[in-house]
Amino acid sequence: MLDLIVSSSIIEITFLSLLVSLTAVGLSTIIGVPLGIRMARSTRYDGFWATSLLNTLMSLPPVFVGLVIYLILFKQGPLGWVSVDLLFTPLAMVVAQFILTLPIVSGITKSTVNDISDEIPLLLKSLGATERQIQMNIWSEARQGVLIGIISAFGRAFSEVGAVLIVGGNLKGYTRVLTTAIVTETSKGSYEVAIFYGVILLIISYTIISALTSLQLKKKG
Amino acid sequence: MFVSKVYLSSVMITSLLIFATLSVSYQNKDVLLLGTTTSVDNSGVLDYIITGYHQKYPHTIVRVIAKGSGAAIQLARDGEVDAILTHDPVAESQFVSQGFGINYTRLFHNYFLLVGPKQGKIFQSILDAFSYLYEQGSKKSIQFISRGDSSGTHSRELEIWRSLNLTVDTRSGWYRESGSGMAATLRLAGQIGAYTFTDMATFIRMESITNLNLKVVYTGNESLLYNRYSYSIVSPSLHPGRNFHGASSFLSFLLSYLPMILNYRIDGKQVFFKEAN
Repeated sequence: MLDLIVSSSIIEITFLSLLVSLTAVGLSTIIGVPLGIRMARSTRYDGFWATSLLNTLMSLPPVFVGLVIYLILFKQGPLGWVSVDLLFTPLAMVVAQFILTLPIVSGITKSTVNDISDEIPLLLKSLGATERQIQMNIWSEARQGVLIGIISAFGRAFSEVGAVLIVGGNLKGYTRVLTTAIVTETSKGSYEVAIFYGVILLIISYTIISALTSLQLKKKG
Repeated sequence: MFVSKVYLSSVMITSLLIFATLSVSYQNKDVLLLGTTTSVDNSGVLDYIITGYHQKYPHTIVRVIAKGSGAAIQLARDGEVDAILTHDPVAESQFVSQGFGINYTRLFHNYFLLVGPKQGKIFQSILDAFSYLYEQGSKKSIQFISRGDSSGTHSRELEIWRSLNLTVDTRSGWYRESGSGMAATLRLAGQIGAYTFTDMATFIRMESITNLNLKVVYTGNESLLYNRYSYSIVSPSLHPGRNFHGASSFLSFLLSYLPMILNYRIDGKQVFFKEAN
């Protein structure tokens, strides 16, 4: 047990978990937030079909997303001609988690912005505010909700196992993350090690989510 | 477009993260990707082999994808791995004769075992055992857990049922498929007091680390239980992008390391044996 705590593999696994999930959520944030705001400011996406589709995308099954990405990236797939390996890399895992989290960030951003009264941008416009000032105003009004979106996306990515298992291949020392390590150790019957990884997963999850929560609760500046 | 300091700094942080992901994904090192079976991985022998290899070749990284032999062979057909270490002779010879694999090399062997609940009956031959299981299973008095994952162990188990002209079906209620690796299947069988078909190395290894609540109900050395592990390299003419050089050097290493593998002990027991030439 003690060798496990000081072993380099635990650091490697934890580092990779964080790297993959933070990169995916970072991408989802920089693309999903503007996308969500755009969708909210157009009435085109307010209907039943668009809303239900977006809500479904927010709960895409990770294993299925993993399978589809696998079939796109493998050598017989549409991207099989690429000479560098795409499948079984941390990069493929980022792509999978990005697809899982993008709808969460943009969907929650959209519904938050929708909740902000439509009159405020109009009022600001009539007062001569520039488009950028209007955007900034929406952002500051929507900040809390957007952060909830980012927190949910991180929670989804960091705890997800199905997609990273399929597209990453759970390669020891390369694509093994905390969640897939728990699967491996449990199936081997090394319950102590599995629990240990689980505790690390929870501690890191708590740390990151409380950091985001403190941003969420910060008084508007 | 929506621009703010917060947004710009998120873009910068994300770019750094992407850069880090790319550098982790594509380390400039010689990598050998080996497809193998869960029984080799779960038995611990693979870690032992790879540790030996790294001592000799510190600059080559061996990465292991452990699935069933069926899945490992499929990965090799697709050109997703450089070489495979599997134990499904029928599927392997097909793989090689269809031109997907070259340098097919028989490495070592052990035997399959039948294990079952602690109060289970001890059998005199594997065919007796399977007939008894089928008979008792049909009366719902025993349960059998199959790997059900196209692994080498699974395909051998099916071969034994076939040689007895018995058809097993998961709808029967006593024959179930775990769809998991060997270690997980052994645990499952132990928990519900079922019989299962397993390889020696994984069983002894699992017994040594945990109380499985299972015992060996038949062990023998008939050809139906002969469990041979072989290595093949993915054909470089079919998949020129694969690391043929690394796969060949790993093969030479495996052959030179064979005495050490035969010396590998779990719980004081030898689990891999020399192939007769």
